[in-house]
Amino acid sequence: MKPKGSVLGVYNTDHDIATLPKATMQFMPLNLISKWQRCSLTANFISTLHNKNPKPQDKLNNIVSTILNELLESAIRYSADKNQAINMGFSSKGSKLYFELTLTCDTLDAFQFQRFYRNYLDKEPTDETIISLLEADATSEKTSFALGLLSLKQDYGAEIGFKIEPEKRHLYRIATLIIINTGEEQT
Amino acid sequence: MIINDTDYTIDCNTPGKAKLLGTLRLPSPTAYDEPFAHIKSGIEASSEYTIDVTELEFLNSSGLTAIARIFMHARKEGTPLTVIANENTPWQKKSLVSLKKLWDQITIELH
Repeated sequence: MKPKGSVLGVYNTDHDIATLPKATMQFMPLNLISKWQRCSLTANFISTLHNKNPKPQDKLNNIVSTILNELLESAIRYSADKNQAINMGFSSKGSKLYFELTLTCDTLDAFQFQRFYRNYLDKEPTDETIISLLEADATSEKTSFALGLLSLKQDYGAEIGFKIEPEKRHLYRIATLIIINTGEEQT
Repeated sequence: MIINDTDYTIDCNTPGKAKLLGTLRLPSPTAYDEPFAHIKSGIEASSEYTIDVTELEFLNSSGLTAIARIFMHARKEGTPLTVIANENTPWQKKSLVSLKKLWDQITIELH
């Protein structure tokens, strides 16, 4: 059975990511896998470019770097072809930060994104949701990806969405959008 | 025992205490098994254990999952755990506190 295309979460709202000027980056997952620290270095570089205070302890810098790093790491895990470019965009408007990642994954992972959204993200997360996820399996990378997104939603009030579209046989294009309201005007 | 990596330091020299510094963004939860091995053995050998993360600037979700496993290990061993965290570091103030519910003998001290 093949998953149908679907538009989930914040992609269904009147967000303005498409019209915002943004920093866009293309990465080859294989290049990041060969030296894992490149995810962290890239996340820190972009967050430092964006922020007035470049110190890692700075609240905004810490949040931006944390989210970008999680997106990059997830792109490596889920991209079906590690030689095919993944796209990441970052933008800000008012007090909001926008992060978008687009990659191609296989049928199984497309199902998993849908299931994960319905089981965990399509409701208000609680500490109990997080604990039950960890108690079920605290060793897998997919648990840590789920924990990462749940923490963003619960701890930072992130709005999260997935757009899943069939691309070609056994492959799906998945866009992930994360919007965070920092409560502070971005400059 | 001190593990000094390019990005992070794990200092377990003081009995009953570990201090984590720098950036911990390893590729998977199980990639933390080796660097956290001394913390696990310290928990097994102590009546109570303290982990200081105040100078740990970044931790990825794999690391957060690995910390949760440390919490579950302390629960299994019956060793009460205190985590000293920095209230100015967003992930420590927020995500770490969420894991406290894994066991009522886990204390998060925000400094």
